Amino acid sequence: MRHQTALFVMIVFTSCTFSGCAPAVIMINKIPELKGGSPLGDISPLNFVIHDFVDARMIENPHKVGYGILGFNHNVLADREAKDLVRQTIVLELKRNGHQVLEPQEKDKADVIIDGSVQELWVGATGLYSGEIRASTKIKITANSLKLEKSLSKIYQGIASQNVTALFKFVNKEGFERLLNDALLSMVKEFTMDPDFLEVLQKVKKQPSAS
Amino acid sequence: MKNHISSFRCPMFILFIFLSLSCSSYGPPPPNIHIAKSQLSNHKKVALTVTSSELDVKYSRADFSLLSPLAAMFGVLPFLAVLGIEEASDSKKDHSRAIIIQESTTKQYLEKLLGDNFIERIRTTNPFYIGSRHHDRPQTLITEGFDALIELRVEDLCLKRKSYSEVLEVYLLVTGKMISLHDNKIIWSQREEDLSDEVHTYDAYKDDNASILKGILEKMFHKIAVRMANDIIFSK
Repeated sequence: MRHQTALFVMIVFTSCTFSGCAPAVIMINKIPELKGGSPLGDISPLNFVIHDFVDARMIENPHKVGYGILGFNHNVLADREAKDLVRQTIVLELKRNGHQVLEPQEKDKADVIIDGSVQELWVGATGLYSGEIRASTKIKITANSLKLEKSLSKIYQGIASQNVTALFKFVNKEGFERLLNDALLSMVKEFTMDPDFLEVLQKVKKQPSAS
Repeated sequence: MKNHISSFRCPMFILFIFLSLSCSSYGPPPPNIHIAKSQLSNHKKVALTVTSSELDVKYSRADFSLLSPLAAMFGVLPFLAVLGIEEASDSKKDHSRAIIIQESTTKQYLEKLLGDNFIERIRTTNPFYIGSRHHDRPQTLITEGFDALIELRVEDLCLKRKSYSEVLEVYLLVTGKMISLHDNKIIWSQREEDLSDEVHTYDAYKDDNASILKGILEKMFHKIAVRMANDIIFSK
């Protein structure tokens, strides 16, 4: 009987311990969207073209967005490429504030053309002992306009972190998704509230159309 | 039957503890509340109070402990006891480090940094009159003609050691809420956090009256205060 009990406990522990081994795939059903006020909404509506972003993260799998605890849930994958996730989040924020996002073929009609590269996008457990998980994004953005002589090039980054209350909590998909979204939105906020970027948009507005 | 139950009691107790820890809440923060433009126009005079926690240092506590995975693999209780002792010792070391830096970055300094930046941003568009107050009672504020109270709080400010290195980054978490004094309802709430781009050693942060740290804090507080104020100013 004693052996059976030990076996039972061992099986339960082993299954609990390795329950998170499989790759966690984050299904992004909805692109994260900011709510509340933004100075971007105070600028007269502009036409944007946002080119496909470049993934500069030096990661083989373009869907990989994170890692779990000590190999558990090691591969956190998004259902779309990381660069598309970032681009779509920015598109949504521009549209939310009354701007139009045109197809790349309509470049001639664009007031502002944005190019970008994803330098960093990940979510993971950063402190096993402290029980902390964190998500981070970093993008490089270049804004150009045919109506302006100079272009603006900047790097923006956003982070989100959360202390998990339990020491041995296995980070789950919902936690990863929420934090990744928070980090993306934090980055978008930084980029869209940057006084330099807003100044460029104001100048574009004041310029007469090229055509 | 009795023997059968008692043979299960100990392992079941350990299992219960393990599962309780595994399943304890992840605790996401409450969602932000965004103020509507129509609500904003009802508030002409707003008071601001700012409070702050002390700056913390997480240097020794950030050390990776091999006991954690051992505890997860082989059982919890004995390892938890050792982890507790380890944690207490590390906390003491970090507390001493924090006290030294707190002399240059007092609570009053942090509150002023956040409050001044927030007020400055609000006053660029003046959606309402804003005045700084020090923890006045709601009734006193109503008597003075205030319609609402904005409470900003530095929930967490710490120097956190980066994994596998000797350098620390600055982490800042600020929460804010706006309460309508007429019906005591929260009409706006926001949670903002930031992590410094720069990293330095503890000594670099501490030296020269914490001048490097102060420079970083000024940038971070400005960024967060502007974000929070923007959410009110540009309400939809």
